[in-house]
Amino acid sequence: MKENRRRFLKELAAGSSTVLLTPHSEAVDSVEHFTGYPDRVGMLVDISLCIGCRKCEEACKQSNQLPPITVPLEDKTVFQRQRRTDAENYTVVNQYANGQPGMPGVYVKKQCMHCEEPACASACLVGALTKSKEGAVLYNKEVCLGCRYCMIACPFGIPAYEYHNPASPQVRKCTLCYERIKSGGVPACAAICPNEAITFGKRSGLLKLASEKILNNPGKYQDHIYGLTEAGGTTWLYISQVPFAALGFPMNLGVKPFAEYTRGFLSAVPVVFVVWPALLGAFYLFAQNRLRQPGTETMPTGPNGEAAT
Amino acid sequence: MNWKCLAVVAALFICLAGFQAVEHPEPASTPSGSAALEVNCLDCHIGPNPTKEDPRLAPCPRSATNSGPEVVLIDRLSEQYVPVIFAHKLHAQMAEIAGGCVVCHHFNPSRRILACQECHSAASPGNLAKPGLKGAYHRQCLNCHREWSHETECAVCHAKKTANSARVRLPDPADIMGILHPNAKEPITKVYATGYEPGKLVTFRHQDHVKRFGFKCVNCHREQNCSQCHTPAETAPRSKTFTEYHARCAACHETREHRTEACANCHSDTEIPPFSHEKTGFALDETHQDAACSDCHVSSQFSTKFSAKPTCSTCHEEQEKITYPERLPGAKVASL
Repeated sequence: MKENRRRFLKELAAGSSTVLLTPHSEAVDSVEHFTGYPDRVGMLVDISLCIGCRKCEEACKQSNQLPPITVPLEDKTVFQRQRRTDAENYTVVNQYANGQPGMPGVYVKKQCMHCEEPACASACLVGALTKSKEGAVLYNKEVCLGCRYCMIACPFGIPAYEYHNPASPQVRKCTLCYERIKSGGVPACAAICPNEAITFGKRSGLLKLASEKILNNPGKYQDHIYGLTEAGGTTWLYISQVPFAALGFPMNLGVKPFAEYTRGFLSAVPVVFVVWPALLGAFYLFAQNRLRQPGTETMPTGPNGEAAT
Repeated sequence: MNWKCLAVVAALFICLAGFQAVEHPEPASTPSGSAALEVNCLDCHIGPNPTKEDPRLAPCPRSATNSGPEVVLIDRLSEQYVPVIFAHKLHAQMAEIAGGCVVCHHFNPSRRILACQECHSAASPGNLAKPGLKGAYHRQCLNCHREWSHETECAVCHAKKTANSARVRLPDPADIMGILHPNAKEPITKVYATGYEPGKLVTFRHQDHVKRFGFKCVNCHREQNCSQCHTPAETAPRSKTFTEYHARCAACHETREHRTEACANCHSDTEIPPFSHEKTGFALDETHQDAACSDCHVSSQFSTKFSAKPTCSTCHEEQEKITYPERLPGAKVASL
């Protein structure tokens, strides 16, 4: 009996450790070594070329069937305050002061960065946000619960909620003009930009172009490609003549994908909910079974000499 | 037995690897620069064997500003907009002091001016680094215009065609042909105030450098953008390093890089009056005005090739046969 008990415990330990460790580590390993689809696209913004004409805002609204722009393009008072994206504006251009007096302002286009490993998709309970192999982070309104966890998770504060639409509210954000790029086109903002400050192409090619621009124009650009590593890398990339910290870019994101902060915990949840009850239940049953066979083993006694129950 | 087999197999592999290396040798040297382009060498070079020092380029097709067009009509989007009238001559004049024709006509072969669209395709660019036609046009104009006028509205250049655009008359190009960039005032001398205590003033003889030494505007006024003149009050003075201050002059004149005692050649407490060659006892009058500096001077330190004060016979042979002024003695100058 003693032999049986020892064998049982041994097997139980071996089995549970296999269950506990194997699926968990395999899942983590396979994700950690995935560096993205090789042909995923990207968008490179050369901030030094943006003239603040806001044609991208207009084109974006047309392409996504959003209500037309409210402030005319000629009206420069729109730059008096910093705007952010909302359910009717997937992209906005903001103005920042140039460090040099007399020089025109610096304009920064803001939209969903389409992170390489998006925090929004990681936070979504139902998988309403997914990363396509082209690079776009896409939203599926059919499965969305409306919990707005994605809005809290996004490090750039991009996803916007249709608060004005209580019947069927959606989370709205830039789609990278997914239908256009699927059919070999260029996103509307990149296509309209008169100064071609936005370049659309393969992300790998854009990183090369950005590096070349920085190397070939010494002193012009900051030695920094924003989006190369920020929050694990983003589809939208920026190069600038002005430090990014002065242009409203969050500089505290680190290089780790946000999804990774919760991956260890979340992948342990099924294990905790499935394996632990089984294991503890087995222990309980074993203990119960042993108590029902009196006399076979020396029973521990309590302080009053009574048998423990 | 086994190790012998292994050795044979290994030897075979090594041979095979060796043969492969021979079959696919790396090219000794890949053509670089313009040699890598699919163009005929003689499109740009006037003779064979150009070198980096002597590229033997054919002259710029628009080396003289006057040979370019006065006005260029850009009507690529004439179905949407009234054509843009580009005052070419005006811009060519401005470019004279800012880098020359190549400011806009970059990467242009020597013999012919290429239209923007010959390199920049109107379609989506296949080469990510090369802007499309739209970007090429806009960057060319906006890089300067937004700096000095801060105007980026489309309507500044593009008049939108309206419903009754059929009746919109094109502006007459002749209307703006008369607009020319005013000639930059050429100073005789320019006095710079410096922070050098022993001699705070540096007198630069601008006119001498232009007229006598044949400097072109662009030799010194390089990479100057419009805003340097057009919004001077708003442009912050750029702090320069010691070397940057002296770089322009140091190309020809000895500055502190060579001899510290040379400071007084330029730095003085008073403005130095324009130099007259007459002071040397050898006036550069009409008979010698075309003589090159190097005919007499061996270096920038004004030392001459002559051991004693030169006379006519020092340079000119057969002095007695010269009949001035019908026959200028230039052709008779002995080799120096």
